[in-house]
Amino acid sequence: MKAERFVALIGSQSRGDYDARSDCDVLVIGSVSPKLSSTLEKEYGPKLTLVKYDWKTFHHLYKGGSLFLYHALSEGKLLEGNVSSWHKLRDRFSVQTDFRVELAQCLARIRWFDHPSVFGGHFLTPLVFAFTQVKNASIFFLAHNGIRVFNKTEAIRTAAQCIGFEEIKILLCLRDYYDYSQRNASLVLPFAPDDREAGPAVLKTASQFIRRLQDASC
Amino acid sequence: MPVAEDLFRTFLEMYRALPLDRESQTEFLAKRRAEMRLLLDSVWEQTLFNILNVRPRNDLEARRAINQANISELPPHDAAVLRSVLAVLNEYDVFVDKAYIDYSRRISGLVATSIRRMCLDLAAHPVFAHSALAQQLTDLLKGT
Repeated sequence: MKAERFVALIGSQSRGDYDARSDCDVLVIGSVSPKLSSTLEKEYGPKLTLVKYDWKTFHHLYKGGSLFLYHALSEGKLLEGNVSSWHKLRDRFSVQTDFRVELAQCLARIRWFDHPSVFGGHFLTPLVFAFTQVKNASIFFLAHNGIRVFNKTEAIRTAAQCIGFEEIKILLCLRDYYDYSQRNASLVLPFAPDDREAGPAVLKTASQFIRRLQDASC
Repeated sequence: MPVAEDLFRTFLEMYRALPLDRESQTEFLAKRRAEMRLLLDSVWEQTLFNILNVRPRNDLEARRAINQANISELPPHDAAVLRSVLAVLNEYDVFVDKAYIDYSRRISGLVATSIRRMCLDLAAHPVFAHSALAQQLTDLLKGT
């Protein structure tokens, strides 16, 4: 197995639920051939993100039952590599089921949201960070409850509905800041990132949401 | 003011909690990579607006903005801050990489070098001459 390599399309492009703002994520275990690399570059350009693992890292994640690998193995579309070996990897994989530690980590990472003065009135980067943590916490919360959803928007919406969190629109608006920053999307932001009232209020909502998810998982 | 004075609290807390032995330090930083990115992102967002009056969308635009700025014409303390922020941004792959790779050894090196330098340059800015937080951070990082 160690001599093999696998390259798989993952994420929204492999699920088919991509939109104009979506990236193209490709998982590379081992290496990618120059020919495929060049084809992907031509097809997706700056939207292409390669997530590369050597075999040692891959085995570590595989053994630990990584949720990310579960999603890659179950939804990924193999672009390079032996199909039967890939299916064996998928069939023998056992995903972890307890995500309380991951949820606690999401909450710990955003503890400065309760002290917005550290951001000096500039909230673009914390809002982008908030989206990632809200999305991750939603995916972990759902997986902890046996529901595996990897579409970002769907995961946030479903997790919020599960705990009766009403401010879903506020949570979903965070994606605009993420796409504006990380994907250079042309869009009108819901409020200016320097808004000293809206910025801290949205960060507080994100913090409350993640805390509620963690409480509901204990 | 290049950054909010309260931002010093976050770095003070991190450096105070940083274990001394290398192995524990690596373990500590592995758990803090995302949180460190939040704080470092805020540093470039704040400094670039407050010193250059630009609003980069991301770390790449921030690097470009500093590289294109005529830093030598800025007041020396602003120039020092931007140079040290750029040095951190030049190593930013350890914070932005999507793969679940353990970068804690490299981060450990940055905490002792370019991030420390950046904190010292920020705390040495004349607007913080009377800041107790800036003084505490300087003392801690200089080991006094």
